[in-house]
Amino acid sequence: MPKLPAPPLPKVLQPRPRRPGDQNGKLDPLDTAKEAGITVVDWIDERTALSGGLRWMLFRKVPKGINWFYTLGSATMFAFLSQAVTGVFLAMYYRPDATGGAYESVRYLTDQAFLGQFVRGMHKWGASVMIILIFLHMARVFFFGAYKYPRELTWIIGVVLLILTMAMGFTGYLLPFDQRSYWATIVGVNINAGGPLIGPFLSDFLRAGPEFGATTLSRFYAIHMMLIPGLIAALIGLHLWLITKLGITAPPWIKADEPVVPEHAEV
Amino acid sequence: VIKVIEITQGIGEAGKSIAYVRTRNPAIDAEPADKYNQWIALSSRCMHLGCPVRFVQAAGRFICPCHGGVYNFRGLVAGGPPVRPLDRFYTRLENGYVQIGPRYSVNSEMRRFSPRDPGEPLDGIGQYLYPSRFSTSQIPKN
Repeated sequence: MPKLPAPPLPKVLQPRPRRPGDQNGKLDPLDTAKEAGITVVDWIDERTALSGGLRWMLFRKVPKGINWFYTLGSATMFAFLSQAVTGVFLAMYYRPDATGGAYESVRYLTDQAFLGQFVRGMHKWGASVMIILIFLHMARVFFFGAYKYPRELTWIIGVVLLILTMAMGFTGYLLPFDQRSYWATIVGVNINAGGPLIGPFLSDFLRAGPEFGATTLSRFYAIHMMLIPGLIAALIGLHLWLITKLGITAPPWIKADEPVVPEHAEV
Repeated sequence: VIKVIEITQGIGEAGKSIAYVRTRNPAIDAEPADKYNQWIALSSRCMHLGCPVRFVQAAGRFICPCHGGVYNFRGLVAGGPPVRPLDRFYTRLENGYVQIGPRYSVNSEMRRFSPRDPGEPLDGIGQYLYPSRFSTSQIPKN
């Protein structure tokens, strides 16, 4: 395996070499702690070789001319992480009980629980932020032509991620179980029913039966908090792996006219 | 007469549906009479996307609040986006009581179909594009 380039640390952060005679060759406590940390990391790294992958992921060449538009993808991912964290806390209070427990638990969460309204607000508005960021990211990729060969698969996975995120929005909307979410879901399910041939069966699947019932809510809850988040996390991993493997594209206005310097050339 | 019936048990208001029940009037009900439509029971479920319609006395029509679907007194589409007339329920007279039975769907010629979801037209090719579902395909025969 070729040696990967060392992380380009700035001068200030690089460790100063020890002078002979410092502290009579003894380690001070800070150095001992540092050594302990390095020992632990080395122990893990010797068995997993994770640091190579980490360097491959984090220290890589990027083209000239990249700008703030290139951060929209990461922003979307952090919106997803924020949704995951706030969602875990909401799930601690939520009960998918269609006989009134769902609405009551959301009301308790909003009115009584410590910072509940804040966390619920983060989750609610974060959902919109995530959708907006996805579309901005998609527009950047489209207008910069970054979806072209060899990055078509990255684009396709991104489209699947967009659809999954919309499914998250659809299933999550029902969970407060108030009049608005109930009727919006009725309408949404019936829009699915309008698809020819498979529509009637699709709507039966979503409702868990011919009529909207108590199991509809638990089905939406399970899809919202177990099925889709796992799929999104896995596909984000694949998306990131492809991005790292293929490298990122230069903006279209950067001309590739510089002489090509071979990699690892001695200057 | 407005009648609230419970479609799904145990989930409170969300499981209830409204049926508008009246006697059959041969002067306006053109469909052939049989033992199940001596009383007409119309479902309040809008056939556009499933919102609840209400009967507006001043207009003499059923009007949907969501996207402006309008149905006449018989439940036929009078305007807006709905794709077929309002669903109905089977009714029968038993020991002096009117009993309301299962839901069925109708097309614009008042032909009966097993209950379909809103948004699924049943005229022409529609009845083939939106097949009956396994869960609700039985229609009582007699």
